[in-house]
Amino acid sequence: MQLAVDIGGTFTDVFLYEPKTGLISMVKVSSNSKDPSVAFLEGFKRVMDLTKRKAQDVQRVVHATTIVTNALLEGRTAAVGLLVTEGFADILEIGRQVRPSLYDLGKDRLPPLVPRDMIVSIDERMDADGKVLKSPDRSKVLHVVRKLRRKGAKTLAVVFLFSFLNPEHEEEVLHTAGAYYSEEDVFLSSKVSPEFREYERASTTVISAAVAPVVIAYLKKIQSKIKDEGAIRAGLDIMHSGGGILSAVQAAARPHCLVESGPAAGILAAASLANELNIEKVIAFDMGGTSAKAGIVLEGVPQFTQSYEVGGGLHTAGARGSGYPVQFPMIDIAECGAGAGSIARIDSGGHLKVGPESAGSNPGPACYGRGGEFPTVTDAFVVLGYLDEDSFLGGAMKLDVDASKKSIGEKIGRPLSIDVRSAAQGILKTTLANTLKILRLISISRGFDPRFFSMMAYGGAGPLVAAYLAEELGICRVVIPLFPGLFSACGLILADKAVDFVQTVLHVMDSETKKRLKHDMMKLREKAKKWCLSAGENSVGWKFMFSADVRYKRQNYELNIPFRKEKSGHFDINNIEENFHCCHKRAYGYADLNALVQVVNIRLRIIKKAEKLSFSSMFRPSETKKEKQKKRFLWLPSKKKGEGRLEKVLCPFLNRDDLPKTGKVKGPAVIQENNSTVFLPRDWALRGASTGCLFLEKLKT
Amino acid sequence: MDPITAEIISSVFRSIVEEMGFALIRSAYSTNIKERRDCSCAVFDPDGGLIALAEHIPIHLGSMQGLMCHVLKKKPDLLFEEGDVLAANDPFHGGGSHLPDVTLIKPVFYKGRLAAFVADIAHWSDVGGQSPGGGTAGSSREIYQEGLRIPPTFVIKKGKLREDVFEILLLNMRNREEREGDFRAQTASLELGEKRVKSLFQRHGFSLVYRGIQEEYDYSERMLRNSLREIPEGTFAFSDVMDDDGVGKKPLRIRVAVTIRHGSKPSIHFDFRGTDLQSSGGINMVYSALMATVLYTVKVLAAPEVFLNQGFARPIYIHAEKGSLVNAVEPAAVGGRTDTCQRVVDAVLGAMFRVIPEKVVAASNGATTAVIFGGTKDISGYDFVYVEALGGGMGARYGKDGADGVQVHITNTSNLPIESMEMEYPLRVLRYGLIPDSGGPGKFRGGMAIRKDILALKPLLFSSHSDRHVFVPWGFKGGKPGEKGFFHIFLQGRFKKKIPSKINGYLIKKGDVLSAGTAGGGGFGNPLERDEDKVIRDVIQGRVSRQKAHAEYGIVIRKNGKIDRTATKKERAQKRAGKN
Repeated sequence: MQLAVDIGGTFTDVFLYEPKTGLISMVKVSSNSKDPSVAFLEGFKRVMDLTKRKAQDVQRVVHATTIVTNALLEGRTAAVGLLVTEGFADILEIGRQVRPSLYDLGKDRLPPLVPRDMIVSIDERMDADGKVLKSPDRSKVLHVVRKLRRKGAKTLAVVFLFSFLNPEHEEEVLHTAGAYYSEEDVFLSSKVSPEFREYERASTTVISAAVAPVVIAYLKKIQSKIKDEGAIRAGLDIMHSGGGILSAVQAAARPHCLVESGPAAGILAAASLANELNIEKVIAFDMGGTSAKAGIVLEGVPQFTQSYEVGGGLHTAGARGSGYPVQFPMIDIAECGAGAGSIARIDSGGHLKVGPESAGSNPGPACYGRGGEFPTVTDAFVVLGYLDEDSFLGGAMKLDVDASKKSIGEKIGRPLSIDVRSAAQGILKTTLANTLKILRLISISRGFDPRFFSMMAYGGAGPLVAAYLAEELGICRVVIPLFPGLFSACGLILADKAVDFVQTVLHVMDSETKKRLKHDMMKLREKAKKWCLSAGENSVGWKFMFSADVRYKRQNYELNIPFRKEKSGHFDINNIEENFHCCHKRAYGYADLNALVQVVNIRLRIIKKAEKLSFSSMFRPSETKKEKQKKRFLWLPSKKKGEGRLEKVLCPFLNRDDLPKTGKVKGPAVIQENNSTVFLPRDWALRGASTGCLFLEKLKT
Repeated sequence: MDPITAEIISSVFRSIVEEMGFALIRSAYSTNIKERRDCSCAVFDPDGGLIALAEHIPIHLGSMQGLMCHVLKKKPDLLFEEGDVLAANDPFHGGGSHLPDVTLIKPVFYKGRLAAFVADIAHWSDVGGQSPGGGTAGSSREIYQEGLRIPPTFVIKKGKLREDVFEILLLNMRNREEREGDFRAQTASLELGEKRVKSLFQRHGFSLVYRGIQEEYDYSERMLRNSLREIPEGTFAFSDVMDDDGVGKKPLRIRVAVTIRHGSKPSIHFDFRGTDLQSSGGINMVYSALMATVLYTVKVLAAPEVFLNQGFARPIYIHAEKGSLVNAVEPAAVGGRTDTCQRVVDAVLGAMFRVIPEKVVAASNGATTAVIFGGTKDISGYDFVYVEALGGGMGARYGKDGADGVQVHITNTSNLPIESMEMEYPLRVLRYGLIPDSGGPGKFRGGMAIRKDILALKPLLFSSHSDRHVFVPWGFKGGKPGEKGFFHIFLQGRFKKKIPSKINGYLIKKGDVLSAGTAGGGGFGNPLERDEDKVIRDVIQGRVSRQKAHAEYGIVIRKNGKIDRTATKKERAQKRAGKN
């Protein structure tokens, strides 16, 4: 029996799967931002009660966590001592010397994770070829390490210039520090992130050192709590932001990998499903209570990004200086504060704004009747009729329609002098516009034409807005997976084990350097094998995937180009230039065929397949008797009356389980299920499939 | 027009310019764009009104807007066709603010009519001139020395590169490979913008989009006027000085009087009468630079969150006499104009201190401190020009210390990673850090300055512009000034000489170290009122020395590093009395 726990901003989702019997069960509980393990345990207990299973039969718990992000946001990190090259003690403080807001002079960068008095310089230096200019003095190193220990440093981070080319000096420090620190407490930049750009590497290394104690304590707490519940045989696995699974022990050794653990799970689930359904190009779209996220999946593989900032709020690619940079190949996710709980308001210039503030789950939207006064996106859906007040969350919560109307009418309608429904439609449209930005960012900005993609929509609110968004982007097909409200948790169960290795090489491509590249790849492979042994993993059964970060010699940003595996089992490195030119053209609109091509980093991802599970195997066609079809009035944008006008349309409300096995349903229609609601607009049709997915397709007009 | 549709249209425009900027940075060749992000992107309406700006570098708006004005003046002669790209950099005939900032604009046609312009600007690290990167240096005497002057010129006509014209540009600039790469990245970014603007018109139609844009203009105007109404009416004046003009004249005065008017349409007026005449050094500002600087200050003072567009400019009036330092005429040299821009910002904030102290900061490092190294053949065999602008201390804020080691006001360029600098150029950095005691003492301390020591591994030519090497950044309300900046040359650890803040083509020998220091920010309020624990924290963190803690803040620290509270109380009382 396997259990997946996905902790989000609003809800904690728990998903149970018993492959033997095919049993599936799931619960959603309110998240607890102060102590996420509380909701973890509550969900665990509830799903056990619900299924009447014994905790001791749980073999594996897979977890997506926000612990790293939260620790950084809330400043709950451990004291770190940082050792740097002489002359560069302010490496964290100056960063890239930019200010986060151009015009708001009151806004500051986040304070460095290591204060100035916990940073010491070591008189050592490598040159730009990795040649030693000055070696560190062992006794001096010992002296400063002792001093840092006395000052209360729990862990050490060591960041020397050019250590990605030659780690010798950092390793000497590790060795020397052994007198006061165990190996696990010393984080070397050449190990954590052997890539160039000293500030980003330092930041990544320091994040690891600062959150490691927090992560370890949290994982221990969860392990002991589930043991207390009787799950004595359960191993704990954690999702990393690159979409792979690490054991709890492995995660503790590289905690910077856990930054976007949760969102990664959703994209990964989308990737698994895309593989299963054989859909080549997918935009994965998730909308929950607090935020919306989007990612790209090509041929079943999520797209990655190598640079990212954490702690400065939501992720917007390109923004710089607001958070702490992390160098790690993570799943490329664009995120914005648009969710079902996002609050709508009128600003001082009389414009309607929605989000990023969220009403969360408590008090939640006005219609929850828990004292929430502010109008939210959910309230807009209630007013417009998309949500049936009697069957929300499978009827578990009765929605207060009048509260929604009152809130939207007073706070939005009156100031804009429009009626309550137009105000609600305004909230919906603004939310769609906010969300479109991230969908464009992840597709068009990255050189992908969304018209050739299918959208996979999930999260509590994703399926409700998906078709509208697809329409705007020219996407003709939307896939709604099984259990869309808990899809990310589902992804956790399906995820493979995956570990990443990287080495900066900086080869300008010619036949000579290609030989060296082969040699470097061998070395990286050895490193991975050694890691398997040291991590207590069986070294067989891993799949090796090489890729390279490539650029034109004169550029400073790289594109990641995967090496294709040939039939002989070798990786094809001969076509690397050609592949790079192609990718560059797609991403930036031109290729420079005469320019020198440089391989900056080689990357190796090793993967061990999870136990073979599939979405289609989870699907149980319903045998319950059909309920009588219900019809309700919906306020939809009017085609005839023109921009912004609404009309009343009588619209069928179907239960997902009752959908006809064959044939199509034509929009408009609303399809309800326990944890989500699907909306099928006019000019769209729906068909179900044996896989359990719903396909919404745009009708040709 | 309903505000919701307007909001949506404007948000699409903002995402277009952001995407353009992203593509430009990612694919550029020169370090200056790819790592330091010295570039910006914008969309304009057919009348030259700014629709949206990707906010990277505030001063860049000046050149893009300036070029649009020039182009529209000349419009009858300039026949725009689909697929054209027009380039310009000249401050007097192309709207630019100095020659290295090269602006490209591309018309966007929809259904056969000119529907918009997309524009981008990037700082090319060399545009010719007397020394490598010298178009950014501060000590030229006329614009002719600063590089190739490009009036509005079609470099691409109907999608086809005009190779003869392009060759004139490349022949006159150092490191042509880099220039070609940057030009390509800039045009690719314009194409992306064009595509996206077109699809917006296709989606909503021309008239709806323009009604949306008009509403956005009105909205920004309304928001700004509302904020101006909250500032008390009156005229507030201030003046400040620049150290020198780099060729002998010193000091130079900048004076500004800011007037706030209410009434039914609140407005803000800037009068620069009393500012010195333009000078023969490269510190002159042309009008487009002044306009961008003023827009920046208005945003800071009144409406940081309101988006810059045509409507935002409506309540703003500028009066600057032709031929003055802030509105120079041909053939003034302008390479180092950003130092002057920084000083204009300081002066405006100084003027507004009287009425809205909570919105202003004390004088910041007051320069952009450009350091430029050039030489033949870098490590990979190219002639090279390396440009970097060093940040410094931000002036102390009302109720808050100034930020340490950042870019302030009209620029926000990144530094270059030390590792990429050393891999690319024959340079080695020996030190890069904050300067202790450089932040002006105050109840709220000024931000700390930055020092960067660079060792030349080959003989190199050094050019620069900076300021505040003579006159310190002032504090407010009893706050003390920040420390001055400097350029020093060291040989094997020994001080050799001091060099001027504005210099052109100075030979740095192999083995010499240039030590560049910027200025610290001024303090805010009496340092004797600074929270004792904050001073101690600064001492522990090495931001303030024990000596300075005692001398300026009256803090007595025991041998064990702990504060002696009784002695401190006494010391502070004595110091206060001594002052009175």
